[in-house]
Amino acid sequence: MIPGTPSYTMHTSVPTDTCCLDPANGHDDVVPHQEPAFAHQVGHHLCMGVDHNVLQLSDFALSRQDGCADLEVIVCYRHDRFSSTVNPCHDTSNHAYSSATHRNRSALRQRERESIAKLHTRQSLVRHGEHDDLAGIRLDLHLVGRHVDCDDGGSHVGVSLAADGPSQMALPDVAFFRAWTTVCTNDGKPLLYLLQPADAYAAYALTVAMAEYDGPCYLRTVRPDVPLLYNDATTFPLGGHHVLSQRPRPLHRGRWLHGP
Amino acid sequence: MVHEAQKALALLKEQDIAATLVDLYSLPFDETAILGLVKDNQDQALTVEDNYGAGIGSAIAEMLATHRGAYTLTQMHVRRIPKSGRTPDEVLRALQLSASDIAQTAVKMLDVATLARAMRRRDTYERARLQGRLQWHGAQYSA
Repeated sequence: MIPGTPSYTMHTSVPTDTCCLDPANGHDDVVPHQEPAFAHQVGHHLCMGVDHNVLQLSDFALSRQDGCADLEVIVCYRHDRFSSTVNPCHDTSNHAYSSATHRNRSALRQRERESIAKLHTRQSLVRHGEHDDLAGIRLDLHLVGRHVDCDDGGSHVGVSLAADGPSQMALPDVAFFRAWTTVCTNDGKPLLYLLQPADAYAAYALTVAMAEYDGPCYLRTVRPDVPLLYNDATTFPLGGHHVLSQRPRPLHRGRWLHGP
Repeated sequence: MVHEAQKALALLKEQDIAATLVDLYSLPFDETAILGLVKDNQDQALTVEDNYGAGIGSAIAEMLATHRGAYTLTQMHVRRIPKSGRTPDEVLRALQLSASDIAQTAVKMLDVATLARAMRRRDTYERARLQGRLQWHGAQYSA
């Protein structure tokens, strides 16, 4: 068990009056959307209520403005140290997110919104390498950044990228980032968390967790639409896992205990 | 790949094979819990990834190798440079990572395990027979 692991609960609930962002219109138009139509599918190009927005959010946080994103890197640092620098490129998406999707939400949502906004800020910071006090991490990330600049292409990882071919699937990234997950910092935390959300709820919760976590993380998302596995009550602690189906366990030889 | 594994689980269920499916979304992970899950499943594990090796499968392998026990781990990951395909399913099929491939690998693992267990039982029986320790347990062994 990893000591000092924070756990986060995702507080979203799928509302009845879900609205979605239309990417074609610069994310400004609010399109009314019947909730159950795409409830089992999420994706980053389709418009589908809060889940879509969640994934799109992660997408925005991950994808680069220049379209070069073979390896997607997010490093989270404490916001207040870098609050002076905001990349204007991200303002549009932040604005769209806050105005269109969560206009009528509670103050609880405000906190998550702020952490996502921080994430945008931090990501741009890391990309531009504007912090000097984290030389080691920065050096490594510059290596990653150079790789990203060499391979231009899709914004998502894994072979499920399909049509774009192998040059744009980030395939060695897990091995690459796993090296950092095997190392501990001085306070006993892993140097890096490698996170692979399996659906939109996971993507959202892990993005929030990543924003709140005081340390580097790498979030790895796939491109195609995937069915939902979890719900808004699922918690995703860093360093955790979810057992999706459990084999009936034998009590002893010849006898079986049915159920988990 | 969790979704592909879920499809594989459905395929296995058709053959009356039960399995545990874990979404290991984080590295590093809770080693005690994962080890417990492997132990609950006849010390066998199958990892499925959509990336090159040295990823989660290797992390599990290292974890199992650290602990005492005879564990079997089969890693499924991208083993050659993929080509682009029209659909993700097409690419997964070409890379032998589709649901049916996962199910086949699992069945193969299970066959090997069943064979090993049968051979172990036979060895135990033979040793007992040669040492004269064989006992008559009643009618259940007749016929």
